[in-house]
Order: sequence, then C-alpha cells, then structure tokens
Amino acid sequence: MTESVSNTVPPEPERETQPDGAQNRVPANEQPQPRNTEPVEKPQPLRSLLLLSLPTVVLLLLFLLLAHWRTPTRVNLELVTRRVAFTIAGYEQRDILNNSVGFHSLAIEKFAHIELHPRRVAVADPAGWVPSEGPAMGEYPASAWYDLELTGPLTIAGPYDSPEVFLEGTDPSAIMGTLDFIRVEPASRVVLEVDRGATFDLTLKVEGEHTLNLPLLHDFSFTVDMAELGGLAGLPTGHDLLTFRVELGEDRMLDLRSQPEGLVLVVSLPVGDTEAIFSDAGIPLAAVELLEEKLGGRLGTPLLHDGQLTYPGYPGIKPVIISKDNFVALDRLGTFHLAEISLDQDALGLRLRFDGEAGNLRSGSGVFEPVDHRLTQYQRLQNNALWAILGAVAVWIFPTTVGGYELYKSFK
Amino acid sequence: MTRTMSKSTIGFAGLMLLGAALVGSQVDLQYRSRGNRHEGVRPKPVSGYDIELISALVDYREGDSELPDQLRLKFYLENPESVFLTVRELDYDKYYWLDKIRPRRPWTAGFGNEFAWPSRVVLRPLGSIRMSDLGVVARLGRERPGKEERVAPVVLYHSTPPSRVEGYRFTLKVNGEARIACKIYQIGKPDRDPVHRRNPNKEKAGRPFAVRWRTAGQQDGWYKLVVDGYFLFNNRPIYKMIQFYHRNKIS
Repeated sequence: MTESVSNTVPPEPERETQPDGAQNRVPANEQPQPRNTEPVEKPQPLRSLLLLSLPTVVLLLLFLLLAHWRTPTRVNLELVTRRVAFTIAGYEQRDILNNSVGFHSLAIEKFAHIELHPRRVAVADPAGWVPSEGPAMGEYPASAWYDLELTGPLTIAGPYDSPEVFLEGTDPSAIMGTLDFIRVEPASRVVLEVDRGATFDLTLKVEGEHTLNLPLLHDFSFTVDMAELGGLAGLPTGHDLLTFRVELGEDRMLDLRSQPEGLVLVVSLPVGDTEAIFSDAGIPLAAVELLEEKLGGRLGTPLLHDGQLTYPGYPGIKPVIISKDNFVALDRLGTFHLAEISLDQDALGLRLRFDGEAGNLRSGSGVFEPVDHRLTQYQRLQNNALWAILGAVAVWIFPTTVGGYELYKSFK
Repeated sequence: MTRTMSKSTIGFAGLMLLGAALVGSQVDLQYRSRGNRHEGVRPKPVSGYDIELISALVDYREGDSELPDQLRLKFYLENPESVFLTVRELDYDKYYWLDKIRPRRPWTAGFGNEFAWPSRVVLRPLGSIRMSDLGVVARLGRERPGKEERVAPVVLYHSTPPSRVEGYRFTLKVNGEARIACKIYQIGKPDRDPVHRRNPNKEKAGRPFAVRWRTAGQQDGWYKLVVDGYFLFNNRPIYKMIQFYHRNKIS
C-alpha cells in the first residue's frame, strides 16, 4: 500500500545518537535563544482612559462656555409705559405724530417766537383776581377784563430760560386746535410722557429747532409766563403771569418757532379716539431709555404693566415676562426700531413695541442682580437641533472611538 | 465703581443696571464721591412728595451760550448753620445730581459761603446741559425736603457774581395737574399784605414752573413763599411754605 504524499506526516529527522545524557540535548542550532534581560513594558490602560474621557471633558468645558457666552440678540419687546425717551437713528428725518392731532389745550415751553393774528384781545388785570375757598380758588370777574389795542400781530417772545404759554379753549370739551406733524432730525432725542389727571396729557419734548403752524378752531384764552409780548398796547406792568382772551380773525394760524435747543409741548387729548396719533412707520432707534424721575429726585421705572419679550427666529423659546416693577436697560442697539407706538387710554400710557438687535438687554428690580435677556450660544444651539447633533458628533464620536480602540488594545 | 449708598434700597445691582440704562459704558459719570462733593448720574431713593422745591436761586444770569469750565455758587447765612446743597437739572434729562458738598471751611455768617466745581468731570461729558438748565437748593438745618423748609437762595455764576440781589427765582414741580397760587410775605408783617402775588394758575404734572420775585425796595430780612392749591383730578389740597433770608447787597 502506498500512502499519498499529501497524507503522510514527514518523519522527524533522526537525531544523532549521543552518549548517555546527551540524548536530550537540543542541537546547537536549535537551542533557544537566551532571554532578553530587559523587562518587557506592560501596556498602560491609563492613557487609554484619558483618551476616552477627553471628549467628555471637552464637551463639558464647551457646554460651560456656550451656556455663558451671550451675544447681541434680536428681540421683540412689548411694553406699556408712562414715559419713553429715544434717539433717532439713520440719516432721514422722521415724523413722530400723524397729521391733525386735535387737542383741548396746549402748553408750549422753550419757544423763541409765537405769532398770532387775532381780531380782538382782552387781558385780565392780575389785581382784579377775586379769591375764593375751594379748588377753583377764585376767578377774574367781568370787571377785571379789558380790551387791549392791537398794534400789529400778537407776538410772544421767549428770551428767558423758561417761557411758557398755555392755550385753552373757551369750551373745555371742544377741540380748540390741531397739532401739525412733528418731524425730527436724525440723532435727535425725543421724550414722550403721558399723564392722566383731570385731562389726558401727552408731553412731547424734541431736540433741535422746530417751526410749527397750528390751525386754531375756536376762540380761546391763554396765559403767558416769563415771556415778552408784542403787538399789544396797555398791558399791565410788573407781572410775569398774565391771562388773555382771544377772538380769532380770518387768519387762524398760530406760528411757532422753538428755541434752538428744542421744544416742549404738553397736549391735552380728547378721551377716546387717540390711538392713531403717532406715525405708522417704524422709527429707527440709536438709543432707548425707560426711566423717570419722581419728585424728590428718586428714579423709578415708568412701566405701567408687565411687558413681554420674545425672540424672533427662536419660536421655541418661551416668552419672557418683564415685571412692571422692574427697570429695563436697552443698550448697544444694532438694527433696532420702534415698530409700533400708540396711546392706551385704558392703561393710561404709551403702548410700545420694539423690534431689533440689542447688545445689552437687562431687567431687574435694582435689589438683586439684573437678568441678562440676551440669548446664550447654548440656547441658540438648543433650539437648533441640527447644529446640536452635528456638534455632538464632531466633538464626541471621533476621540471616543480612538480612545476605545486604545483601551481594547491594552487589554488584548 | 464704589458703593456710595449702603442704605439705599437700590443697591449695587441697581446701580449697575441703571448705569447701563443711563450712560451705557460711561461708568465714570455715575454718582459717586469726587473729593469735595458727590456728583454724577444717579438714583436717589427719597420718598415721594406732592410738590417739590427744585431750585431757589438769586435771579441772575451771566450768559451761558457754552458751559463754563468752572461753575460757582455762593449764598448768604444770617448765622452759621448746617447747609445741604443740591444741584440738579430743572427739567431732568440726563439725571445729573450733585450734593454732599464738603467745603474747605465751615459755612459762616454772611455771603462768604462759596463753592466751585469743574464742568469737565461730569457735566461736559453729559453734553447739552447749560448753566440755565441747572437749579440749586441750599436747605438749612436738614437735608430732606418737607412741607415747611428753610433755604438760602443761591447765586449761581461762573465768573462774576452780581453786586446786588435784584430778585429771586423759585422753581417747583407738582406730581399731578394742579391749580397753584404763590404769595411772598415778609415775616413779622401781617399776612394780608403779601409783597408779591402770583395768581392761581394751572400747572402740568411733572413740569417745572417758576415764581419770580423782583425785590426792588424790599428790606433785608426773613420772608416766606407760600405755595398752595389743589390737584385738579381729585381736588386734594396742596401746601408748601419756604422761608428764606433776603439780603440786598452781595458782599
């Protein structure tokens, strides 16, 4: 029988017969090599553990950074306030009021020149005042009034620091005149204040020199304080405060030029239809201030109701309620607008909506640390799932894989 | 920034918030000690009033087309006593405030009571404030306002004070629309003969109004300005009395 070559195990090579004791010796060329005297380095699992934990540490640090890193944020802020001051941004003039705002009475301060063309003017002699008890405090009886001779247009000049004219219709319930639109230059500061006492008053302060032409609808009375009158003969002397009655002629315009520094108007508005007195167009803003000074010099917040802050572009973020007792600081404005403004007669204030980017937006009571309402980078990522997932993958999976492989090798 | 009002209800956090609101990054304009005075833009937690005296000045204007480098004030005291000076805007815009003045020497009897401060530190950086925008009240004996108070009318100037007092200018403010009458009496004379009268007039809420008294021929002595009236909204009465010493000659 022959065995196939492929199935046979080759015989072991014959070993040379060696003298006794030498039979077990391994041939010289087959003797094992002597052992290396240097110690063999054991694999270090610590390095692998460090590699494995590194992405977690990096992620943690990144989270802490993103959770505290706030950047300018676009916001939508709705408030009802008693007072607001703002500075116009941009390069164009802006209208603050719509045309033809009717008023019951009008106080004008910081004027340089006022001119009227009445048909008749009468003055009350201050010495003729008859005092009485009670809120009216007295009156000018008919005998205290006398006509003045008109020598030309009636002019009122304000050379002093604080001239004031107060015009009031003879019928307090009637609209005595209409206010023209107020147009302001860029970089001008505008202050709007509302007060609800016996009347609903809007105070409007605008920087810069203004010229207005106001149509007057009815006869009226006016008081003048700290000003110089022209065009009238027979004025009482030695009195700063004088009261007049005016009968209008054919020319029913009141021409007004403010002092160069600005103009202050206090307009008594009719109750009811006052929502549309402000211009519809959004007003670009360079600065906003929501503060008021109370009597005694105390600064306070002018908010009348809780406000609401939302983040356009992040509808998933819950609106923030800003308490009416809180101060609000808005600063470092980017593209920022007063998007809507109206008079809220129920709330007795100005209803405002701001829209734009703010580099500083904080609120607080002033006792505790104010709350920063700018979004953090973490909040932005949190509300954008795609970026969050991609970021997690990039930061975590690669080093984790490398570390895991190293650990596997060390235990193999 | 230093904590200047440890007793304030608006603390450090409030100062930070209001600082950001008012002056943005200009932290140095905030109200704080500046050596011989406290000056800056600041909140002051004082309880509310119906009517407040904003300013009691000698009626004198030196001309202020531009803000001068140095502002000065002086006032007369019949006898040495404690004086609490406040300088503020008549119609607030920048929230400027100066008080807690520490004079080089104690206030004395006579017109030798003077104080000067530079405009470059706070006023000029604030911008658009003129001397005529500022009011001063020098309260005698106590710091806080009240229904009845004593003041020393102040001469506010920058270069040359007047040699005589030609008149006074008191500026007040009410916190609601009101009808207000003002009378000035010489103390010691019958109240039926006021030396000056300003008939009742409607004053708007929050708007400063001035009472000017030309003093020609009036004797040196104590006088009182009585302000009374009613709020138009609820007919609540208003009352305030301000005593002051009139001296014709400024030495």
